[in-house]
Amino acid sequence: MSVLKNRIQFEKYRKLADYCLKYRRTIVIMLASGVALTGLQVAIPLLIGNAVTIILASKNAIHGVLMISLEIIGLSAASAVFQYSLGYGGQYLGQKVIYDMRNKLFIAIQGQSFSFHDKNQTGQLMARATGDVEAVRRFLAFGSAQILGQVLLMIGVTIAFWFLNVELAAIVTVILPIVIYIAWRFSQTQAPFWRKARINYGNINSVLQENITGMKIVRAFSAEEKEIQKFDAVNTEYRDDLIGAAKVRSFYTPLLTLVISLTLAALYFSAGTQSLALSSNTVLIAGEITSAAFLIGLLLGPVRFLGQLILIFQNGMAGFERVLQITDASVEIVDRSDAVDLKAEEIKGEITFENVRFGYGQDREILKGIDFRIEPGEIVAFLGASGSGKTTLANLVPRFYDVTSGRVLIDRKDVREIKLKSLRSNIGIVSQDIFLFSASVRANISYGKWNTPLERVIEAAKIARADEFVDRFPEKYETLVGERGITLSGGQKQRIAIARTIITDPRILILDDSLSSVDVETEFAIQDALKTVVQGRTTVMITQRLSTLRLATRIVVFDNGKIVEQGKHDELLARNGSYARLYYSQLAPQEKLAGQEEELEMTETSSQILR
Amino acid sequence: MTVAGNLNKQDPGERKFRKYGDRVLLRRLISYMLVYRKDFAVVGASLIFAAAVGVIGPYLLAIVALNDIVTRRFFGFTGVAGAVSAYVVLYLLNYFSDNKRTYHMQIMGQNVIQDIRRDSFEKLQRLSPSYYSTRETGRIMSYITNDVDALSDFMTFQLPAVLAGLILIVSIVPTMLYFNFTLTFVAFAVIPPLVVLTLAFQGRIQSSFVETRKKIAIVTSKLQEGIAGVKVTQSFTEEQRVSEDFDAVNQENLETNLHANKLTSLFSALIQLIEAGGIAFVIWYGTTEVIRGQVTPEIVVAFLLYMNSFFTPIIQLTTFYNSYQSAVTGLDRVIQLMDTSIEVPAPKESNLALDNSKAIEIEFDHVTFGYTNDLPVIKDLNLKIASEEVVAIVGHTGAGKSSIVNLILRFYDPQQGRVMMNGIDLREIDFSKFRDKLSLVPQDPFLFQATIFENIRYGKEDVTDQQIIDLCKRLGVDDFIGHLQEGYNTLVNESATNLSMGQKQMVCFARAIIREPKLLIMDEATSGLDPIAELQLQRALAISLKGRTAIIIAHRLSTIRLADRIIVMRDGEIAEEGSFAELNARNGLFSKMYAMQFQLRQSQ
Repeated sequence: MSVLKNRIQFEKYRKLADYCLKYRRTIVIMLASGVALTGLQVAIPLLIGNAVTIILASKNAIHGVLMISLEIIGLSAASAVFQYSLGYGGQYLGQKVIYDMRNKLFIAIQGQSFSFHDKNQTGQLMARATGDVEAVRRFLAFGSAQILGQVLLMIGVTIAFWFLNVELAAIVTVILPIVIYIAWRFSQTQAPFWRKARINYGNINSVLQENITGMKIVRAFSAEEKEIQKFDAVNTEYRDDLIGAAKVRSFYTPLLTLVISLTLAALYFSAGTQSLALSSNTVLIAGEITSAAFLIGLLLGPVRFLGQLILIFQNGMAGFERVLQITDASVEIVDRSDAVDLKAEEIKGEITFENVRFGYGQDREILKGIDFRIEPGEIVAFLGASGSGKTTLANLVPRFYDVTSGRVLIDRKDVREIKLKSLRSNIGIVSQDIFLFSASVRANISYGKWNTPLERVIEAAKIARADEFVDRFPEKYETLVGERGITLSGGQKQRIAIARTIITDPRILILDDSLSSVDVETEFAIQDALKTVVQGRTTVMITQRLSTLRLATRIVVFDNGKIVEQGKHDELLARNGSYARLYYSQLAPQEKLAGQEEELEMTETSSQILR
Repeated sequence: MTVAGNLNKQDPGERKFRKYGDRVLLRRLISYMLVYRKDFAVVGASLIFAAAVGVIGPYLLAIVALNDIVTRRFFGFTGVAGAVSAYVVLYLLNYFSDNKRTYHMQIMGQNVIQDIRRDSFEKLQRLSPSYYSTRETGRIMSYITNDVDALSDFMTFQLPAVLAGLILIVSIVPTMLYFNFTLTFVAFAVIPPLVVLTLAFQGRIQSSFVETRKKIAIVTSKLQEGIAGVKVTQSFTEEQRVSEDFDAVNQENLETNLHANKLTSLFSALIQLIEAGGIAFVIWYGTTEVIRGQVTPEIVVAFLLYMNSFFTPIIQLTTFYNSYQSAVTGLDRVIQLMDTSIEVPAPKESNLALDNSKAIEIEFDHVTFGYTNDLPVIKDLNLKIASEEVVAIVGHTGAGKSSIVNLILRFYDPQQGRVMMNGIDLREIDFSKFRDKLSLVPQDPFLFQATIFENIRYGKEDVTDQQIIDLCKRLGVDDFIGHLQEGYNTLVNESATNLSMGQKQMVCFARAIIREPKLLIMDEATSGLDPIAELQLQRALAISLKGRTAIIIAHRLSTIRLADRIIVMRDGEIAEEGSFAELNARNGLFSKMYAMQFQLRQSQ
């Protein structure tokens, strides 16, 4: 257990080292600067001690002291240069590494399967690429230079002591390991609090994200208080984690200061006893103890700061662990090694479902054995109650999810044997839930085909009847939509989404209830325009509305994860089964509620439309 | 169509420099800290003690003990042993004081941060929808996460160190003056170059940090969009291009940060150089004074130690200058958020309430409204909806239907005219007083990451589970919920992939009805329902509408039929109104809109 844990820990450091080693030149510069800086830093107290000895020993020391002063300035100038290269080196390393890390995270997130995104909230994922990555940066940028500097400084100071005075050196050599031990204990006690804090930080992010996206509902239901309470709960928990860590810190940090102060007292005590020997040169000892005081002074700041450094380090590693959870997560849906490319011009567009069963994760089964074939060029409508599995089945074709058992085939080839990129680029899917990017209308429509000329964009917009409202925008196709731009209605979003899909010229077109928010007149106009678009493609239309069925060459009726009926409108109606029930139910309310005579004629009308 | 706010690419909140000066920012910060004045008092007392230790400690060792060593006095109260013992006692006491200080400082710091985060969040709850329509989610999130975090670093790490340093400086200077007047001035000869250097760097460093905060906000919002839109990206196999896009902003963020870091690293190196110059100067001048017999060597040594103490906080401040700048810049942005004026403000001290006994009556009195001033989407609208009336609003996209809903909910205020409920102008009544009485079923069925129970109960916490189940049965929603793994306790995940669109709409509908609203607003709320569910829902609706006023925006005839009156909107004006039969007979816009259905009937 603990061996395994250690191995995981080790893995983590190795992986962080991999990120850093890309910048080994910076690391070498930092190391060299660190060594040089330590040497210079340690030399200055020694010079000060010398100065004291000179002053005490002779009444005419002005020349010697002037030399020492100049040496101090010279050494300091040199140390400023190394200070700069060490400090900036750390920042550079940190920034470069998190730049790589963020990119890698983003790419990992982009590559993750739908099931991963179903499980992971946006806010949580964002916390990894912001807060967690930032924690890594703070460690590398600031912590690495400081830790390196301080380790070197401790070594440097110890060495300087040995040159200075053996007895004093012995004291320091005994105490420094104790300091390091205390620091280590410190880090061990504090770590769990920080790990918890990072998790709660993620929670803050997701509450926030949800609140902002659901802002209108919060307002409309005047639930601001409730939201504040929700936020307060995670915010307080986060604070409590940090205060827990602070308690540990408030014990150890003063302890470290105390140990260093006592060391200094011990040094003076020792210097005092040394001075008692009659053979001793008290002036020399005075110089040495002054040097010692300045050397210990070099350690005092860093040691006090050690606690924070450890914290920065732990926080950084905790953050990095959370980054790794994403970058190293296995991707559920990937290309098989023997996957083949699907060439657009060779696709006929036949889709076969072979005894397909599927459920999201551990949840109950949604598709319970779907078995049917869509011929090339067919226009098939999926009909059925909400939750009956229509969308789920459609999502299996571009392999957003993989079947639990059975097979989905395109042109008799299992989709799992086709390269994802070529599979998806030949399938155009307009989903129910429309997401537009914060970009211009044009950029949104040409999303899949980046270099499409404006005329083609307008053409697609015309088919989707998006042109009529886009033309009324002040900046037409350059108008910004999405979060920061014009707020579009559901119907407008759907029309842009349709245009966006049409432009990719897919061999297989899936329209998932994508006209539901469009008014009837526009819907019919779009359908008419679609008639030419669907030529030569295989089309799946998922719908709730009978009006959408006009285009369909075949209707497939779903119920509870199974196909219960299929055929043409008339056949199905004659069968007097599920379809007939659905069909009449849509007309029924008008009879009941309006009670007007035209209802019967309306029924007729709909039948005609459907034929 | 709703044209949201201005369409400047520049975020209205983005500026080149900070909006507020350090002093204003610190004052705001201090007002937060004052809440914890008890902790602060402990910290203050401990700091004063620490300052005394900082003065006395070097005195004991550098002056008394050093002199004793030179003169071989070891034993007794006046010898090395005495000085060292006193020093040890002093630092043992200091340990306890230090312990208390660190703890209370942290308590204060973390609480202040929590308060600031909560206050900013509360502010977000009060800001009008127009604020949101001009900013990406990620950008708003960045205020409460990235910016507050930057401040948090400062509050819990640097502030304690800086405060300790400042108090030490305040106590050291008089001590130095006491020992030797001229030498003190020599020691502080470094201050003018320090000031000059700081002034020279300040502006540049500040603006470079403002730039870094802006860049990280852009990274955050790209990130948010990248994650929220990932399914579309994958459908279009655009992962690579999206990643390249992200790389571009990430790269910019990198460069901006490196630039800022370069400046601060240079600055702190120069400060250290000045310190060394000061020390050398004191040694040299001190020696000449020693030779002239003006001062003892011990005092020169003590001065050097004091100077060390003097520079430690300054150096610390400059090595932390990065995070100090991040902190104040972060604070600046947070305060900008907190000070954002609310476009649709709550009335001051309003006691007005709506009559609870009857359904709401609505009146639009010469209302003109546009999301921008120059583009009205509602033009001089006069409309009265009587209590218990069911009104359907139809019209093409962009006709102003949703804007009417936005005005009734007072998400926006009209530029001209009044929107009234039961004769009260909405601007004179508290938001919750009228929003509590109405329910919205939105176009986009937004659900929270909570159980179905919790979602339906949203906004009305006192409803029992049984009441929810009863209502859902009545609405015909119970069926699908019963089929879910954990029934009403099923957790709806973020994108609600475990529910179909229609199911989400049904939950939204139940959520609206459970509040027993006096006014029900349905904004294209049933588009995702299958015919049978819609039929069920309409039956339920017909019952639910009894005793309520309702506004229904819809495209489908079946839904419109429920209405007592239909209002046809065109370009922000009412083009036609009347009952279904009346409008149908009129052969106007309404009958044209539904021509598809009618033409066939007429041809028969």
